[in-house]
Amino acid sequence: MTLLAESERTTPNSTDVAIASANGSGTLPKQIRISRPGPDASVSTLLGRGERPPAWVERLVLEEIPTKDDYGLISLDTLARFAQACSTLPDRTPKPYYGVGDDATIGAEWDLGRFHVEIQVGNNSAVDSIVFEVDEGEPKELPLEGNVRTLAALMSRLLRD
Amino acid sequence: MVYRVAKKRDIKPNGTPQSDCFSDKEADDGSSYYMSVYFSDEMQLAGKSVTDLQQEWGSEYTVLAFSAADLREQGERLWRDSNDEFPGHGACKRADDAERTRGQKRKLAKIAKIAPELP
Repeated sequence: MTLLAESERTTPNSTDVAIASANGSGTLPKQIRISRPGPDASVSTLLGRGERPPAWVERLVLEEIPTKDDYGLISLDTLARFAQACSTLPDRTPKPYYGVGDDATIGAEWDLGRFHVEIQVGNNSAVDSIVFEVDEGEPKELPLEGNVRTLAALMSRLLRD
Repeated sequence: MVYRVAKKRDIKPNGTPQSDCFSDKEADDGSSYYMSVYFSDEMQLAGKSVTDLQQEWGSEYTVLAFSAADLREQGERLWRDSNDEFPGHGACKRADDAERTRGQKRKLAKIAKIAPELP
């Protein structure tokens, strides 16, 4: 699976939160474009040809998470990194429990039988992480950076069981 | 007991809080990585109950309960920090002052229980 991401400057007063390109055929790259007013970068998440993110990702990123961001803490870059991580998951991945922490982090959690998986993406990317737990045991934690493919592989394996 | 107020929407159907419940914004004085809690002993001295605490915050909130010992066992440091809003206010943060990691938040979520006194 190939995942590409690009960041680009947007016009400072843009008010759009829009999906620039989305098609359901699964044959063309899918792009989720997020932009907000102000100096933040507009970020596009591009998936490789033939790859589809889980159906819940767009709505979660564009509508539901901003609704839970009570203090407007989450930066556009954070939202984009979260979208990018979720977009790599197998398309059959169930919608997670999700939330916005008051420390400017986005969290997503899956309870999958014996397994529990969480990811966190924050304005401080140093705390971006994956948490994995079996049978309510000790949570194992690893950085999200460099392990997005591991997350996708882990989820794929868990959903196969 | 030590209480943490959390949004009901962040409590999963099985009663476990999401890990997102365990952080607070940076304070006006710049202090960060802590979270507000309430100490039951001071609440009781002031004649306040868990239900009073929940009502103070509003219907969209619930109250999670821990023992102070459990929090310390998880590496948290607790201190009293009274304010004018509700008796028993305090705070906790990692004993090493570091930012709480997701795994550490998860451990708090696993030991937190919705306060049994709540209806």
